[in-house]
Amino acid sequence: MRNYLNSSFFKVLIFFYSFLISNSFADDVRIKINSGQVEPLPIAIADFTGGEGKANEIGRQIAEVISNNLVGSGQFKAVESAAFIAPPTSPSVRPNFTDWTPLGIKALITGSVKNINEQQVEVEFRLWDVIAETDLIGLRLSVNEKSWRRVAHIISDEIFERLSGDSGYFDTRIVYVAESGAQNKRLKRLAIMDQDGENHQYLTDGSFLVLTPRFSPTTQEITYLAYFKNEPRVYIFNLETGEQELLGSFPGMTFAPRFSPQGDKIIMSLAEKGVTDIYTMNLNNQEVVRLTNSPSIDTSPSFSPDGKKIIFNSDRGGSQQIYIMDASGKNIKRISYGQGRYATPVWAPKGKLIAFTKMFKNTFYIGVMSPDGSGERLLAKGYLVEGPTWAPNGRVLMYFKQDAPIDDGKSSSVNLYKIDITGFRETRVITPSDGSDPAWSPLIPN
Amino acid sequence: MGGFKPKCLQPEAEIIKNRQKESLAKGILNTLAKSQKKVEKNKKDKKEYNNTEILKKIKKIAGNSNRQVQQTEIKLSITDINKIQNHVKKFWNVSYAASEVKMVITLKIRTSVDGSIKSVIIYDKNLYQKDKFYRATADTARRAVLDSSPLPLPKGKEKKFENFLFDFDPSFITNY
Repeated sequence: MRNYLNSSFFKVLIFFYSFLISNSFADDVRIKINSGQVEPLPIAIADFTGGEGKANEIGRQIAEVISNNLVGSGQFKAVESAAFIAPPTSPSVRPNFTDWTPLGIKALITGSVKNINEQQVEVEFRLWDVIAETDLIGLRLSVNEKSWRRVAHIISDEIFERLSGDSGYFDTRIVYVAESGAQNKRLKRLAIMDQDGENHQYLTDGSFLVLTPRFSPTTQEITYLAYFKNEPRVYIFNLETGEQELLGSFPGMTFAPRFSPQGDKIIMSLAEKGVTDIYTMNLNNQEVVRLTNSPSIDTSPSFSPDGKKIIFNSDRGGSQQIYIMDASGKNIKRISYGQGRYATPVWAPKGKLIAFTKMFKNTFYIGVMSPDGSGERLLAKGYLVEGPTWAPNGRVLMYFKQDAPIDDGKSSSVNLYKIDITGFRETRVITPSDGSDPAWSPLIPN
Repeated sequence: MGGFKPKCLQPEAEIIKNRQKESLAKGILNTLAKSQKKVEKNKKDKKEYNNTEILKKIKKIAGNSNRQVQQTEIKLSITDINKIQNHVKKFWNVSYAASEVKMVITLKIRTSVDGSIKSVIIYDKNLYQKDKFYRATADTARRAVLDSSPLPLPKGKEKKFENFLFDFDPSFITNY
């Protein structure tokens, strides 16, 4: 045998054989596909099956939340369950894919809810690729039945990540300014809710005016501006403990405090003696550093995700435009050169885009551009659209929109909206009262 | 008369018998001699047979390989390629997160003569396991190929598409 293996014939044979194997996928026919569509993916979300009435109801609600989340992202199109040919199946059962392909469905979600005891339920799901006829991901969670909504958000995040590659953003919260009452006696309270508008809570009682809440990118903390006895103060509110800390009182006007990417500094603008400049405050030692020093109005600063750059808006060139500078305040350079005025720039979490508000010919716009000012795209417009905030994955923006005032002189309503960065799908986020100035949280820690 | 015949016949029969015996003996000897030669020849032939059979097999394989080379010499026109590209790209529905994928996604394709897809294999399994953006985008490419079955293969050139590669390049998705 050994001699046979060493024989020249065998070597020749191996050579020819390996030659053929390597050429079985001859790369002389190699076709490049370099264009396609960026359209919502048709998916089917079957009601999660449940053993009993309560589990069944939870299963139906979970499927509904997942559907709302995925469709709201602008990346998925849910096929109506009325069109389903086959009834929902347990996630452990391989579906009959031919029941789903005629509906144009590319991905199918099946799931189940089982009662473990009076409080606990076991939720399981599986994501199927209907075209490749394979399962892509599955998960089983045992949770308190009252947490079913959060479970639905976690499952949505898993599905979103598996089908797009991006991290999800559904298990997150929004803090915003809840507005109510007449225009001349407006009550502005700090409020928080899930990103889909559920689990709404007020954080302040309205006894003082609150403005510009911003989430810490690293902790479940919020910074915001409050007017206490007409004096602007910057506070930090810890959502886990409910404790509130006063960072400082600032004479004159203070605007738009925002966390640094590491969460160790606050960047804001302060108005003093008719000029508004940008400052940072170190949260560990309260040290305040002035970054700009010009006779113009410099405001709305936002750090780049790596903390090395800052964008802000300024009228130093004659009209309100977006500028970029080093974190030290040096090398200031204008980046917006389109028509109109630009304001409230916010750097995306991934660093590739900057969201902004634009004003041109009595219309407001929400748009995005690259940090060098190129590639400007306008996503939303209205009588007043302002205050964009990024979802933690940098794919969705939330902002507030006000309709034109009604003739009777009363203020028109102000509402929160979100839109994906293709501009494909704009969705209103329902709040109990008017809402403005939203800020998106990072993913909630497990 | 009655005894004559046998007498007459006997010697002739004996002669014939003897001749038959002799020829039989000679035949046996010849057969033995021939079979002796045959054994020797068979041994030689067996050696040669082993070699020639392997050579024949190699030639057969080499012959096939030559045929493959000859087949690939059938030129595909730009129109042939464009027709397939335009067909498949209609089915490629990709997420804008594919802008994070900085390379082409190669798929190994096997088709039937009628253009129907027999199999799609994602080439870089390692990256498929490691990189979530690559994995999701490779899945969209696989769906595109399966959805686009049958492919509009150029007539007379179907053999060239028995095994071939698709390179999906998501770099057209920018600014997201």
